[in-house]
Amino acid sequence: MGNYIARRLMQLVPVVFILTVIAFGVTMLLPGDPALAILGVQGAGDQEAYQALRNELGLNRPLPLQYLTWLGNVVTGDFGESAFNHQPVLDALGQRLPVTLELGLLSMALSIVISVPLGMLAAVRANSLTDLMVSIVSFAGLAMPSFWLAILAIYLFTDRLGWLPASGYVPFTQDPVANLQHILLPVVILGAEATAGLVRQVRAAMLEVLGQDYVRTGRAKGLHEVRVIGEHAFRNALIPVVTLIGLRVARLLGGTVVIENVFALPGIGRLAVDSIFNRDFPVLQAIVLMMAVAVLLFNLLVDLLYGILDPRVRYT
Amino acid sequence: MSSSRNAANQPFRLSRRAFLALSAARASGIAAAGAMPLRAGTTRAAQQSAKRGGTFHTTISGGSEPQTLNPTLASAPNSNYLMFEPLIRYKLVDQATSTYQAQPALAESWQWAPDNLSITFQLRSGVTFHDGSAWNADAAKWNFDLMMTNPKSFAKSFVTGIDHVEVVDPMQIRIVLSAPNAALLANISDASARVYFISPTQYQTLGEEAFGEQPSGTGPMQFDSWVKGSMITGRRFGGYWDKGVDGQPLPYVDASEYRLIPQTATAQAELRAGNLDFLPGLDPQDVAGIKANSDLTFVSPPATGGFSVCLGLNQQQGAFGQNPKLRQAALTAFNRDAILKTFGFGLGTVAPHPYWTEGVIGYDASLPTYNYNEDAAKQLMSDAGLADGVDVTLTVIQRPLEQQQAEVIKQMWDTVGIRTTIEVLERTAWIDKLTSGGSFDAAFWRGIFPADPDQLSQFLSTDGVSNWSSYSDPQVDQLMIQARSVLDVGQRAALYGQVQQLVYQDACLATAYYAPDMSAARSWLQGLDSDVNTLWTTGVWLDK
Repeated sequence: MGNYIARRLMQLVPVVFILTVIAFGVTMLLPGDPALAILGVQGAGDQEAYQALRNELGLNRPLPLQYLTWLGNVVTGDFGESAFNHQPVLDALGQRLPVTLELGLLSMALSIVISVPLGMLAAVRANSLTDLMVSIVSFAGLAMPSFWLAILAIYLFTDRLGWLPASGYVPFTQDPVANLQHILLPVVILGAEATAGLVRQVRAAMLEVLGQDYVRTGRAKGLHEVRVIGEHAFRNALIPVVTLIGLRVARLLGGTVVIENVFALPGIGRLAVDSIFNRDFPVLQAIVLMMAVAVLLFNLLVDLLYGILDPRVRYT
Repeated sequence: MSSSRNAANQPFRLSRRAFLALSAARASGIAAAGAMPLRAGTTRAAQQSAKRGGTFHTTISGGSEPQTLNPTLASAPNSNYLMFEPLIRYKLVDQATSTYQAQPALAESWQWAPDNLSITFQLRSGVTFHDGSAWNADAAKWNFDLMMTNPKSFAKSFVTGIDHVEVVDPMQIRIVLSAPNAALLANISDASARVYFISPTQYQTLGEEAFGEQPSGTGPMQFDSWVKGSMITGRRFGGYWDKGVDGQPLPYVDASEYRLIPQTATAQAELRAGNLDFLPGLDPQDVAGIKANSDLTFVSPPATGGFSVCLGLNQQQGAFGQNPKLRQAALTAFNRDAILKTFGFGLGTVAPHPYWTEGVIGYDASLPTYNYNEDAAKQLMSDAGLADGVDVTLTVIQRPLEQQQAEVIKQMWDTVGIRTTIEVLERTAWIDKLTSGGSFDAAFWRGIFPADPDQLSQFLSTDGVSNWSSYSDPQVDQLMIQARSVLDVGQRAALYGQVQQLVYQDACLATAYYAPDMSAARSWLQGLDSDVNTLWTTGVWLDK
């Protein structure tokens, strides 16, 4: 197992290297540069200011040299500083990451807690009224774009009822109650889409397993229905579900971009959007790289989980 | 202290009573014009019972974060967050006659030299920066030098006519000009929204970068925290120089919170829920909802900002370049009234003379303009030898208002044979395209409300930094320089009249309408005051 993990991690090295080229290249392909973005519509005509900024930001050096300098620094853990506000990139990420992690993990947990039982219920009672209701709700959840759902929620809970704030973030360590008040709506909205999707997938996986011979065998030898479903069927159904949850992580990262903007949360998604508009290359490159590595590591984690769920899977 | 060349240059010291009377007159004038009056003139009685305490919650205007809190180096104008102040405040006294007046802030009084080549400012005494260092002539001169010489200074264009600044005595500075400059007071006032004063001591101790994270000024709020991506907060500065109606130092509120909320729908929900006291930068379509809400007040004093969407036809190259008849056809097919009706929501005013609107020196409604006439436009097309039509591209920034207006103009132009392709680019890509000499035929950008028409040089002069469509008329360049050096308002107005005539003849620029600056406040927010291009929030208090 240890060897397997080490080997998988080694395989990641060339992938990450290619990713650095992509992260660097893609940001450089954006039209314009940080100096133009900072000067803006009112000031970009000022050539003196423009050149001064370009020099300060090191943008007048040849592109390959810029890449190699950046790569060299990144390898030693130095991601440089923001081209926009000179904040060290790692500080910026460190400040934003807890927000996105809290948002992402809570909404993932919420969607698993809701969707797994509901999906199982719908599968066990397939084609019943319960199944129909679950299907209707989950299809509705899938059909509604999250930003629209977010605006509806803000209208109801902030505007009409005045129960929850619609924007901002308070760290958990500073004020746990205020933290939960601020994060509740975003978590539920971000979780809603994932939940709706997962319910469908859990139901489908469960239905397939329930049609298997060993389930019929279990029932035939007089096992209690709870054991049939809970022990034999559920565990086997989990394998495709875990894969799907793993794949959801990437989508969840995308979802935070939208949710953090609507709810004005200072997370990684907001930072990514701002960095694109500001042409903040160092921050943007670090985010692209970090997100990609996170997805890679999550995929590895999913592969490892298979072994725990299914003893037939061996890591050699 | 007397020199009466024009209203804008009159040095004076208003008594509090005269000031309040003036504000009252203005407030009633605004009321007659249909906008909501500010309470400056009407709350004298109420102000005597101004309540202290609480936090002033508002948003960072424009919804995007500044790159630094140093007001001289911040790209967004009006980045003062109640922490910094100007030398003088600039007020619109009478919109119909374009009469402006400068009022003391960090300067107590000022006097022009007889040759108009220098002006001496008596600085306010007893003012300290938040770091404890004193506001004096050395500090003032140091600030001007920073604005003039730092290559990244965004205040540069407002101090360009200044040759140098002298320290006369510890509380007096003399600004020496390279040529007489009628726009100087407007330029260095809060109307430019750029010329604010910071503590040289703090700047030199911390260095340029760190100062931007932990600034120090003279304003009623001192820097408290900046949570990136979230908010900028200030706390009451105990040593502030100005006093409230209760005789105690301002500000009335204990703290300020400028929050960063990118989505307008979210920000408005926070305002309605009472989590914000003031929300700047409304879209016109949202105003009706604000006005209908009895908990909220619509705030839109004249000349506090606003913008016009300016259409520029590339004079140098492309389909419009070197083809004046086609340009005339395009401007004749441009239906201002229809655009105002569609996008103004009853709030804008039609702007037939590009950049000049009511209240700007030199504005004259009787000057010639292109009036919408489809048949005349078609005739001009055949005069231009383009009876079969012509293909053009219209390059606009990716913003809903610009994109929608582009659609409307495309329809107007298509009808007369100017077949239009709309090219939508994200802001920086748009800037990149237009500054790198890329080929485009027509483009949109936003014009400002100029506190002084000299500020329009950036749009109209051949080398202007915001002259996006490569407009160039040597006579206009000449007249803009001349109008700056004449101090008589009547003469200046005549010269700017000539500029507008030439702009008309060149047929490169058009504005449809001028959209006023629009904000919303909770009804409990009191003590808001307005200057040209900026709202003065030093005296706000919460009546709750």
